[in-house]
Amino acid sequence: MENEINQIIKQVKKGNKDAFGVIIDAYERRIYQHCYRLLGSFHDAEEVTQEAFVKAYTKIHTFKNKQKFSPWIYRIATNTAVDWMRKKKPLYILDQPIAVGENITYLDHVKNTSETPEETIEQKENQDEMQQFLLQLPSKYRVVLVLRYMDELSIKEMSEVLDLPIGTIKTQLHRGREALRELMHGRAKGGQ
Amino acid sequence: MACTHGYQEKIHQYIDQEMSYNEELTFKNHLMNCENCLLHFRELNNVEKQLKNAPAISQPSTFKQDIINRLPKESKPKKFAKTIKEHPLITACAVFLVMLMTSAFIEFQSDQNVYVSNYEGIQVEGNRVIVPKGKVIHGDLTIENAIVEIQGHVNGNLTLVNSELAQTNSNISGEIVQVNRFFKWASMRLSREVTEFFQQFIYQ
Repeated sequence: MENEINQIIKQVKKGNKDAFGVIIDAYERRIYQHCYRLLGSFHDAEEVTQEAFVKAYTKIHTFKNKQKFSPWIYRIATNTAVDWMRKKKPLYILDQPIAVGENITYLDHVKNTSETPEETIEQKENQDEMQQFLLQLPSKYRVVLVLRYMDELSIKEMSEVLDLPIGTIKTQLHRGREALRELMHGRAKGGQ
Repeated sequence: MACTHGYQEKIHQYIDQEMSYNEELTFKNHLMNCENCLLHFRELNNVEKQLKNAPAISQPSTFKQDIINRLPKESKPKKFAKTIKEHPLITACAVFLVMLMTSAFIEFQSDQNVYVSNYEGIQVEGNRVIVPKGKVIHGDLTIENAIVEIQGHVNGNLTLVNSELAQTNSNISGEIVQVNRFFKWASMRLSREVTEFFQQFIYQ
């Protein structure tokens, strides 16, 4: 699989856009899921996925043929999503809980007043409880948890995606899980 | 009260299945005797389970065509830049070669001084190099940037670089080689530099 992809990338480097279509087919679903888990919005996930693929195409010459493609594309998608979070902050705050420990967001208040098609999407998003918890975490913890559990990457692959040593990845994963535990079980971290 | 035995980190190790059999036994033993750690363990285990059970997100539609439409078109200068970036070694060689040629060419033009490989018994007057009557030069002779008059005798080859032979009485026992071209000059010059370099060592 990786070998085939690297062959296709040689074609893309020569300027073959159809070859890039094959890459999109192979990774689109995974990258979209990754972006959705990081951003918590279908619209944003779609936009960021597209942006990430366009970036991958324009930067394809920086991809070395000995490299593995999947960590490379996850890395671009992650960076694009984190940039997006920074830029979108004012709107993004609407999804955040009003007070710590409560799961009611500003959007929940707005929702009670009217019913629009957009809201059915929002509701669908809210059904996924884990997503709501993830969105409350600092982005660096969210990124490691999503890569590990939603994208099902190994620790080694994660260290390639984030360009961090394996030890650091493990520490962040532990802290991320602790932060999530505090959110889900509403209990302060004991004794540390 | 939280457990002070540092078992929090161990819980993560257990969840990540990074424990040896013996470590696992000690860990489980501790859990049975420590309520705090057991609670902590159960909560983290629950977090782990929920993370693993999070549903896969289905994508509303494919955006392959949208992405392809957004791809930038490549311009020719960019393609050239791309080739350079993809072949750094070849580029480096090319740049090095160009620099070498330029510096050699500059030196070629500035090197207009009269040079004689062996001054013994030879007269130099301005840009004229004269081998006087009755003199016999033993060995090969190289002369650069001069007008050469041979009145005596040369017992060997005569190499003329950017030089003219004004008078020939065919008193040369070897061959006469005329070098005016840049490349020949370069190779001549190179061999001269090399011999001079080694001569330095011999004299020291």
